[in-house]
Amino acid sequence: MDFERHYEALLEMADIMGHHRSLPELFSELAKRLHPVTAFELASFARYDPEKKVMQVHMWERTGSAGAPTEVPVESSPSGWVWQTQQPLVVRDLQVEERFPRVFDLFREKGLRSYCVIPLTTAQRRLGALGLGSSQLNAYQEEDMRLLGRVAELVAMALENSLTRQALHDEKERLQTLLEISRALVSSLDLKQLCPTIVESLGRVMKVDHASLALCEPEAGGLRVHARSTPVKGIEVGTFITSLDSVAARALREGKVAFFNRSDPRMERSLAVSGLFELGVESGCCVPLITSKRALGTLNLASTHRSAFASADIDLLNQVASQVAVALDNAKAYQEIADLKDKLSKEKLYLEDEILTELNFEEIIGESSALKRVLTQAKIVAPSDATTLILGETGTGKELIARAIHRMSSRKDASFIKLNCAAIPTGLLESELFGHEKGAFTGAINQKVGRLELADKGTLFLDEVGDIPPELQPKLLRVLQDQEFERLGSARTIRVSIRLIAATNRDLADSVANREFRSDLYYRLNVFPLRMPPLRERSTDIPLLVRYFVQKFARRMNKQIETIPTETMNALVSWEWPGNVRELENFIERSVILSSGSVLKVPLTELRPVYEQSSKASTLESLEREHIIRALRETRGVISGVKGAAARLGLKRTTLQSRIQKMGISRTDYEG
Amino acid sequence: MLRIHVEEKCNRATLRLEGKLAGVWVQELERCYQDALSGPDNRALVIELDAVTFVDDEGRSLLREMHEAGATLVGRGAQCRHLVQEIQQQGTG
Repeated sequence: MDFERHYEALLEMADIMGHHRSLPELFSELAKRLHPVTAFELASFARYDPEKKVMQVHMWERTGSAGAPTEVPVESSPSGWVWQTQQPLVVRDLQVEERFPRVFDLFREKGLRSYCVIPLTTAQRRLGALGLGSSQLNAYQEEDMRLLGRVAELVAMALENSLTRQALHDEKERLQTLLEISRALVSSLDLKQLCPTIVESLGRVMKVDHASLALCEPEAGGLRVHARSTPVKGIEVGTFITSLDSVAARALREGKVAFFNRSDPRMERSLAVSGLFELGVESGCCVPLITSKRALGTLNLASTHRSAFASADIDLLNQVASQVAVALDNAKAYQEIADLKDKLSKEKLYLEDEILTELNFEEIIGESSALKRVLTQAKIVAPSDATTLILGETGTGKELIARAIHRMSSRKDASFIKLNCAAIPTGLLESELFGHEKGAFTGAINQKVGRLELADKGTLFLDEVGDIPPELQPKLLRVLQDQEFERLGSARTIRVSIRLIAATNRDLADSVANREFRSDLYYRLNVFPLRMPPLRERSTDIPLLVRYFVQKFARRMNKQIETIPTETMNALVSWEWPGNVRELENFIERSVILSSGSVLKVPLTELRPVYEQSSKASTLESLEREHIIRALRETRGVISGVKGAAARLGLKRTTLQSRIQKMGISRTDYEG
Repeated sequence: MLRIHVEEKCNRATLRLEGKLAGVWVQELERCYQDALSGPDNRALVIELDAVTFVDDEGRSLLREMHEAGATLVGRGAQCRHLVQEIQQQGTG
């Protein structure tokens, strides 16, 4: 009969195990079901708390009312003894029992006479103990103990499940916390916003009320508060923490989480922590922010609860700190890059300004109608993006006008890239223009980016374009037409957007006629020709230029030249200046060097041949003219090359061309 | 780039210019000039051009306006002296 009742009670209890919502509810129900089959006035459930290393004891009266849980040291508790030894304990007469006085005195006060405790254990772990107390002497016999053993097995299983569920829930909360903090770090690294987010997110899994971030300042030898979740006296943003004894410094020094409690007497000395204590903080911790490269600072957490941060939280705190550290490190690196970029950009602007100032590219001096006509044309063509061909003698300022066109165009913020086609050996010109891959030819030891690529979205200025060798001309034509090319040694086509401005002092039409220059390239370049007037055609600008150069060189040479004699100025205006503005500039520089006082001293003898218009000079000039015509006749009009007229006369090609132009020698003079 | 040094002493304000008086810097000089004008009524205004390297048409017009309004233009060196003389002659002519 007893067996049947026990069996039914066990089945009912097993049913309850499957449906309970919380452990207190479970024990309350179990106590009700257990009472009809076993005599007891008080049931106890004790669980070992590994954090505090005590037994957490819950008690239920027979009536079902539960008392508040109490913490009892393991060694003072009969449940603790059972948990440790894993043996059941049966006290047949509490009146004569001398062990565990703290607990048994309480039981005796409640009128209990006998008491038994069974271990709650699963295959995985020792959980605690289940106890029953009766007002009857020797209430628990062997059969009762067998029943209680079965009940304990059921309770242990239910408890194990409950603990596993709790662990899973805790883990989920921790992952959610990490996710939220990651999201906050990824979306923005606003430190002011980060601390409240950390408090809110960590609040899911631990009792956090305040958070702050302190970052290392190695030069100053301490930490500085950069953000905080709530206003705290002594932890204002910008506060510098120097004390080596501070909790944050300890965390950094030891490379691990450092805890603090209000009860710790050392804490009284810390100004920052005392500010927290004024707000009711009881405990806290500092987590070091460490990356693989360096220690960045500390994440500081505080709580109004005692011992709010347990060693079980260390893993999560370290994970949070690790994420914050990586994000801070990245932000710091990004800031450094941004600063460097900003610095480079400022340096670029400064250098550009310096170049403009030094080389006077910004100023075009002159008020003559010839110059104004060219400037008007430049203003018209500048915004059109059209290829522009600047013609003119050497030293007339072709590059100056090219830069002015670039500055007035929509490409002004991009680069102006210059390439003097006559100044680079023919073999290297192609590589300079198009660039090359490593190993493209012998000597190509590195990859090289060509001027075309450098000028992408900007302007490419090809000076002396008439000197481009014939084999390169079709390639340049393709770039002009299709805006694409390949580096030497590469099959990859590079697309660019380039505005081309070309310049030459040669008569390109003549070169086309002599088959030295491709006609299709000539027509492609000659979209908008601009002719820079020689200085002799704008002689009214000479006084302005002379004054400008005198002041420029006088300043550079730390001289004070106030006067330019009228005779000198007249002589300068009368000279033909075959080398144009460049020649004038060099001449004035020489004059300023020679001037010792406040009056410009000009070596007029150098100008006299033309100034005085001597008959002897005319004769020499006519002799020179005839000699050049003879040479041209002998070479059938060919100027350049080893068999050309320039080589025969021992002159540079450009010099000969300049003289031909100056002397007004035309094709009819040497042909036929 | 134009650098404008403003010196205010008793009854005299001096604007010392260095660099290029051209483009946007002309407006900047005009702003400084207006600020200087807002001082005491009868104080003298001097524009020092010794260190000016270039003046464009707008800059030249502003200097002329300032000269006509009573400012004294001072310039040493061949170019600046000529510029000042030119503006003064246009004013009297």
